Amino acid sequence: MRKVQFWLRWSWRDLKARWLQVMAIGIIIALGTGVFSGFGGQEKWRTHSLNVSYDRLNTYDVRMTLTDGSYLEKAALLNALQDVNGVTNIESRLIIATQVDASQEDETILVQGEIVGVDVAEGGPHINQLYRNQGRDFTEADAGQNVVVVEYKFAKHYGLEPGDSLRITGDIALDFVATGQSSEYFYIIPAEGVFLGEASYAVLFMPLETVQTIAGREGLVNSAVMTLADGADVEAVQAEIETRMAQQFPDTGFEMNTRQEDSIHKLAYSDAKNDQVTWDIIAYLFLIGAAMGAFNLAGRMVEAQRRQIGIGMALGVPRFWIALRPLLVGLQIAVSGMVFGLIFGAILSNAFGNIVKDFAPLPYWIIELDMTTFLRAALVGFLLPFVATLIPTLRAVRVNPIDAIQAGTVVAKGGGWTKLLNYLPIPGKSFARMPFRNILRAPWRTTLTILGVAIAITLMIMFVGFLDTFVATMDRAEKALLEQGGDRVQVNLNFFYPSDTAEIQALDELKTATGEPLLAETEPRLMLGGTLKRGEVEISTMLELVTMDSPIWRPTFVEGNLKAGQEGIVLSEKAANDLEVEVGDTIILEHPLREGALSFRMITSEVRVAAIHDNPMRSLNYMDMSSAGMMGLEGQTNLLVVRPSAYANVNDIKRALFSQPGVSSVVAIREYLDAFDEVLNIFAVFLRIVQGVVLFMAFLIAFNSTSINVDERVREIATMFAFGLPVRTVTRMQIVENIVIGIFGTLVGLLAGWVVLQQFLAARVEDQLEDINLIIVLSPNTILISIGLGVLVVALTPILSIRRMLRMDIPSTLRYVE
Amino acid sequence: MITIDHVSKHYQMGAVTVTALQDVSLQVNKGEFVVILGPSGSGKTTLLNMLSALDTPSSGKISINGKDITSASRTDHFKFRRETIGFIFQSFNLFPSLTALENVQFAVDMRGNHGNGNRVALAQEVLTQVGLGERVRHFPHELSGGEQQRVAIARALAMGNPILLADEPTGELDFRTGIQILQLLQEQALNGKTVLVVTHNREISRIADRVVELSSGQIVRDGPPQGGKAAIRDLHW
Repeated sequence: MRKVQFWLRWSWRDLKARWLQVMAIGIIIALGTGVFSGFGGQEKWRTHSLNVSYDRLNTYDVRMTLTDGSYLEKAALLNALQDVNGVTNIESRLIIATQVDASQEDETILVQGEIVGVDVAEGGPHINQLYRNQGRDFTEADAGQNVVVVEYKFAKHYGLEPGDSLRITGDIALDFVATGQSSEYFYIIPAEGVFLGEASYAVLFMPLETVQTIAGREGLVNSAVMTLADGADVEAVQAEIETRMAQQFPDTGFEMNTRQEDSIHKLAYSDAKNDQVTWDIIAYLFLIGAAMGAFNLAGRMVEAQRRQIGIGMALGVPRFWIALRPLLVGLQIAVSGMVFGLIFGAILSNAFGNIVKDFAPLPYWIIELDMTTFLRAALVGFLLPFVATLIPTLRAVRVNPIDAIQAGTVVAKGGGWTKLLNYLPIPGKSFARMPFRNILRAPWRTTLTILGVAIAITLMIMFVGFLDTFVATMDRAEKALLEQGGDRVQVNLNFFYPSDTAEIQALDELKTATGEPLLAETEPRLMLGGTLKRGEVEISTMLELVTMDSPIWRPTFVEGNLKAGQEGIVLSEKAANDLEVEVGDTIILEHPLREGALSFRMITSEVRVAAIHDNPMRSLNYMDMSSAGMMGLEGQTNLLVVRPSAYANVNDIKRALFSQPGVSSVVAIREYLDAFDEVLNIFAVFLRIVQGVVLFMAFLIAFNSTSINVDERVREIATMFAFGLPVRTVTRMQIVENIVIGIFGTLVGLLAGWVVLQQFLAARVEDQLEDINLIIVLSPNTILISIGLGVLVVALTPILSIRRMLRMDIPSTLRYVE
Repeated sequence: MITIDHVSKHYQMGAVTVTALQDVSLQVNKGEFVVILGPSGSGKTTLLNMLSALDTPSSGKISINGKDITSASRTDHFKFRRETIGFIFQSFNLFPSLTALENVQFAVDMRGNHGNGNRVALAQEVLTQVGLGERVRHFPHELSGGEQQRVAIARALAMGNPILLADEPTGELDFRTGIQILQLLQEQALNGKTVLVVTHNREISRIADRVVELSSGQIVRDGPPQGGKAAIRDLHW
């Protein structure tokens, strides 16, 4: 026991002499174990929270959505589907597009959105129940009343509360009674595909009967949701529904999906999974960086104790006891890293939980500490520095005692790879040469330091490159959408109308408040949902039928051509790539065909790929208006593209069209991109924090290395001082050395970051961003900033050693023999 | 000329005050070869540290060529060492990442502006003077102890400074190599440099012009070697 105390005391003195270096590595390890333990279990608790939220809201098992423009009698639909084997409950809904005016005294809030008409009888809706955040639940008495539950994220974004003013298309005032959440809207992603779209898209829940009245679709519905019995065969249920629908409503097209196929469901779960992969990468990179730092320090400490180890061996002390002293320092690093890491992890976990709750508020959050991950992180955080110390220690105790004891001439170290520089002479004074020689003198440590810095830069590149990629992709989308007719406004109609109806013609006559013309130009178009098919590949698309000689806007072709009056489809590059087609090839287009006034069915047609356009959004694909006949929609329109006159702006148009019959929403084309910008801005703030953390890590690694170098070269520095070399020159030499290390570290980091970025995005693209043709880039700014910050942070760390050098006892150091 | 005027040095070791030098006064003339002799703990290295402005006296004054270095600033101390002193250490203290030539070039660089060719030529010349003209491209770890010390002497000489301070310069060398080193130092004194060698080896003091013997921080003897100055070939240890 006394023996242990003796070694512990000795090791404690070692720790006191090097506490800064030990702390630096401890903090790096803490960053790694913290991220590992804090985020290690996030997939588990997010998945658990999602499961609970989906289950408690009694989310549908199968959802049926009628083809755009199709409606069925509620009673007829429910009749047709009742008693389907395996279905336990069924509810119908009417979902319509709308424009929402939630403007408050101090803020204009005019956004597009949708109204979900739900059955409020007997405490409904019973499937896809609404979780109430504020206000009151629907009651049966609300049926037919203009009461609304506003989707929580939209309300939260704009600070809206029950009782606030709310109007919808047709200038209809609504009684805002509650805010709430539904599992179909855990993420708000409008058709145009903006992730976190709550700023630009409002979802309103209202009694079914009210929505039918507002839409002029009394008794009609266009969606149904079902729950199934435990163990029911989903495919059999869907097959039976298809059979019954074909029998009862042969002219009405529809789509079905299961809960798991729901894009929001997929996104929610895959986001948790992908975030986990990201955090794991970050945690491992931190831990590798920390291991390198620990290895550096342990190696240096063992080297400093080399003679003492030799003396110990000469005195017959068992190797175990000799190895114990440096190992105890490894233990100290390990324990400090582990303890700080777990504390840091708990803080991170809590902070991350709050961020996730804020970004994607679920009704039920169960943030729990995953003990397995926690213990695994603790073990990794403990073992890593310990093993890093073990290796140089074991190497040290294996040498002959005499080799370890010798001092003076024979200990003059080998020059490492310094000889290499003899083949590459560096001009200038010996002071200029020394930093380069020093770099090659301890190649192992230099490599570890370079790799440590590289890891920090890799992390930074991964995150900033992610942002760069999105910015570049959005820039391309912006160019595609706004280069021509950037001021245009999309007026979505609530149904298909003949282009020559009086109401549409009358739009041209609208005036501003001062009597000037409101619109400069108006153009009717068609917007339809469909599917692009080739072989096994199927891609959902928003097919827009555009007049290809439009003076307002038409897609820009990067390949091929499609003129007005010609047949063929203009595909996005991503769609063409995914379908593996080129201009001139043919694909199968599944599209709606109008069969009756309120019924469409889906048919397939073979179409020629006429051109490829430049928008990176895969789902945006175009045909000429002359192809409307294919859909049975010749001379019809459900989308007007207008340009404001010189006397009006977007808000004037929104206000003027708000009360126009048939108009469901009015959106300036720029708003789609503004929503993206908003998301990117939030992301950018997060990235600044990450940037700060990884730079701190680079700093700690560089500080550690510089500090070890000062330790190791203390006699050389004292000699320089003895010869009268000023402190500033010695510091300058260290800075030059660090600049070289910083440059190499940053370059390696840039390269590794680029590779990791590609892998990281490839994983995300696979299941989260499949609809975007990501242009993976690193902007010149990112590269310059990374080099600048990486090199600068590393280069400046020697400044922190100036005080230590100034306080050096030169005579003692000169005589000191390690 | 070096003037040491009533210099004392005390160290505080916890509650105990240790006197390393006690009222030491001494004058050393230009071109003298002086051996400061004394056993371990006699204060000889402390005296050397004071002379090189690596340490400051607790009391008294040290002047070099009439300039008081005891009251000078830290920056002036650096400048003084750069322009006045050449150091030779017991354990050589060569820069391991520089070749022999570059170690000497380091000293040439300290002296100021020279063209690249001149610097290299000068360093080469000094190394040749110390008999290492063929070993210039070798790193310290590739040289023997004697060769390393010769590089250290070449480095000190290349500074071109008037005073050479050598702290136990033969301490880590065998007799034969030690003799070669002492010969080199003696030659420097003959060339007009002031050479102060600190040693505990009484035999070495036999070749000095003057021996200053220290004991317990005080000068106990100052004069020519006992028994007269000997030739290097007569030394034995």
